[in-house]
Amino acid sequence: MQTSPDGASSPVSLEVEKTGYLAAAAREHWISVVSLILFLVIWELICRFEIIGPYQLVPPSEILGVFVDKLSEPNPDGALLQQHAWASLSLALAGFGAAVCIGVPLGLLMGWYKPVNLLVRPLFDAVRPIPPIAWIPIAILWLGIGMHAKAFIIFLAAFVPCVINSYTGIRLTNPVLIRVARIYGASNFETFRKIGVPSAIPMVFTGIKLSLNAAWTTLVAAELLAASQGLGYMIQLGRRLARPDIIIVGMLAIGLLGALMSWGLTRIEARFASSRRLS
Amino acid sequence: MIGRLGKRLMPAALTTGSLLAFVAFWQVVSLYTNPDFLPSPGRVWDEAVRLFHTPVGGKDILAHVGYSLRRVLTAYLWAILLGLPLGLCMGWNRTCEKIVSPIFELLRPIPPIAWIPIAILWLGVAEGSKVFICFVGSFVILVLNSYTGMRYVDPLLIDAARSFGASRRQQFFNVAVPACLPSIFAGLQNALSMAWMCVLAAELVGAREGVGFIIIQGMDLNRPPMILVGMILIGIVGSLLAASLRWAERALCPWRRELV
Amino acid sequence: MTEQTAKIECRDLSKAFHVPGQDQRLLVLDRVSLTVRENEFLVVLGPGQCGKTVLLNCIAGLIEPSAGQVLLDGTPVTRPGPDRAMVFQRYALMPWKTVEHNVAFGLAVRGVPMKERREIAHRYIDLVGLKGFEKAYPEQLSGGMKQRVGIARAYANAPDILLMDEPFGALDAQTRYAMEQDLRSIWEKDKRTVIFVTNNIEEAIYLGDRILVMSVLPGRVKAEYAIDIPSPRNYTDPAFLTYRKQISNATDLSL
Ligand SMILES: Nc1ncnc2c1ncn2[C@@H]1O[C@H](COP(=O)(O)OP(=O)(O)OP(=O)(O)O)[C@@H](O)[C@H]1O
Ligand SMILES: [Mg+2]
Repeated sequence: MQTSPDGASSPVSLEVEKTGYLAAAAREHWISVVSLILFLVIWELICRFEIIGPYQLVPPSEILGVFVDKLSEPNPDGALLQQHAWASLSLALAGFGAAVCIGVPLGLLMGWYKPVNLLVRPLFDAVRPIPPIAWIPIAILWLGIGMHAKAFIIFLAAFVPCVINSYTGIRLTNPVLIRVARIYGASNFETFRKIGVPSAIPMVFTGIKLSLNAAWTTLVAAELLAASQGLGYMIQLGRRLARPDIIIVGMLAIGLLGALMSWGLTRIEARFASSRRLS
Repeated sequence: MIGRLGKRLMPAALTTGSLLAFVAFWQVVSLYTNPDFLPSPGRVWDEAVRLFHTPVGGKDILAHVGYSLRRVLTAYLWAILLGLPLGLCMGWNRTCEKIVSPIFELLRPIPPIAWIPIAILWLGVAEGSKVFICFVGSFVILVLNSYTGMRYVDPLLIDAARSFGASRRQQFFNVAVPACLPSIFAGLQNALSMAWMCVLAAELVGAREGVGFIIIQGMDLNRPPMILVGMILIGIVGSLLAASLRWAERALCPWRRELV
Repeated sequence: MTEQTAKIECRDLSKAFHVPGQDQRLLVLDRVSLTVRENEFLVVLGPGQCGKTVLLNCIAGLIEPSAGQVLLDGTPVTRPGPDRAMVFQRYALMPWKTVEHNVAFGLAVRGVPMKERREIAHRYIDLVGLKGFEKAYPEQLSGGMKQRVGIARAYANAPDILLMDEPFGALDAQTRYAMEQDLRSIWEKDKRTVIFVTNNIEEAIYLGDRILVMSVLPGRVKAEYAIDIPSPRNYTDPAFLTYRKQISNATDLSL
């Protein structure tokens, strides 16, 4: 092999770009920053010049104040922001957790064992086209206005994506791997546990993320309709009192918590994936 | 031996079979529970027959479906009109992406349903707020799907077009947009079912017509059979909407027909 | 070779890429100079990852060289044009277009009327031996057939220059031989200036009038061979084997 002379003899200038990280980030993102600031300024101006009245929109500069106040001021909706948030969070996480604990194993079993599929499938297929929100009235009739009805609906909402994704994930297991395991004498259950389940994990995680989203959305709907606490209740009351500041703070809290939970789940998924790669 | 026809009929037969099994299961459960709690399929059927002959809240039951559909489709069309171009532009043009994405990312985590109170404050309890909610729900999904679709277009295809001297415009309309049609269709599908869910939520919060009104009315009158009829109706309409889009996809993306 | 007859000329072409996370830029092409005569079949032979695709992209005008220039009939290349057509390593067919519309793509871009487009497309589909598959979608074709579509697409645009980037790299050996034979006979029927990139010595000797051998990264032109075997060529011809031995000894390329 012919050895090539080192790059130093090359006519191409190999200048080293040594700009700071911050400068690069600024160059990269200044448009985004400007656009965000412009958005807030326009919002502020719309309110200042009362193009949209104070009973419909409040300027962003006031939102922050209301947000901070709401942490120590229960009026007008009867509870602090963190109390509402906690009420919503605990409910959503309870319904979501139950759905994951039941839905994922069920989906996996449905995907692996034919009889389970035949048994559960009709129930599941018949119920699936009905959006979980449509269950709210009947859940209220069945379980009364309270924790139970809401938890039931959130469970339903979170359950469906868990089952579907686990089912699909395990159905997509590479058949060659299954055959290899069987040739080496693994029982059906062992193959399920050692081959099927691990290979379904990425899909299962996608399902869990979808179901967290569904749980959070459905929670808001349930609280809009029937609650005496929670972020959904807070924004609904804000509407009755024509207090856009309360509504917007509530919406931001809902968005923020939702985003935080998705982020947490992504972190867990990453941890899980890396620990699996190590083992 | 399953013939060609048999293969075509197989899924339909399975669906019918599983529906029958479900109804049977329901019948059995309702035998052992309080009929006021879970009405039997027979009673729900009677209620359905009754509802198709007597108006609910002054309107025919199909008129209620019509109201909901009109809201959904109006919002859906607006979302397509505004969301698809926006998402495609964001995926195509870095500057557009940088301008829009921070605002979009700020608003995206807020579930569409959480917009209901402020929408009512802005637009009143009437049509406006309901259409707005459905719009928000489907708009976000359409933007996201067309945006990601555009970002994942194989750059090689763009290079191929470029090598034939295609202008930027031709690269966009003749290559990039068709290349992300599958992901656009996935978005259209999800957006429509989201809009259908949103209209329901908006109608539950306050309406005098629409499918959501039927089930709320059933709750107010304490009539479980009526609620169940409403829920089944909602499920059927939702499935029909999804099926019509699948059909549209098969018609518009013939190259994908042999796949999957 | 004199200036007048040079169809394509690359002068000290260099290309470096900025690799994320590295200070030093990656030098891919290092002062590559080459000339191609009108209607010559030039083969560029080089190992994997030596910058062959980058070289072709520069000539096609898809990327800009860091230094040096590409001259076409004496004028510098700045952007792609209908005078050059590319056949891609990974086919790059539009999955939503039928064979016919894929072949007519270049014509459609130039705004050739529908009827004429169809006629030309059909002519070249015949030429590459895909008659009967006009209405098929790329997904329904085998790898060899896909690349035939790629070749027809390039030919149909009536370019002066064909740039072929390892077009048969992904095919099995049998199909590959068949495609090489067909390409050579198509080219003899309808002569164009061709730059054909490959990493396969036999393919290079079978197809080329002249072979340029490239080094490993950063890519340079290391050697040049004129292949003087009359058509039809044969893989087991003594002359063929002599060239094969000569080139493989000199280049240390296995195969
Ligand atoms: N856009 C780019 N950015 C950064 N590096 C690149 C880019 N394009 C090519 N390279 C680098 O240039 C080198 C040569 O790439 P090129 O695709 O030309 O190789 P090749 O000779 O065509 O190889 P192969 O035989 O596998 O097709 C590779 O190391 C690749 O990583
Ligand atoms: Mg290459």
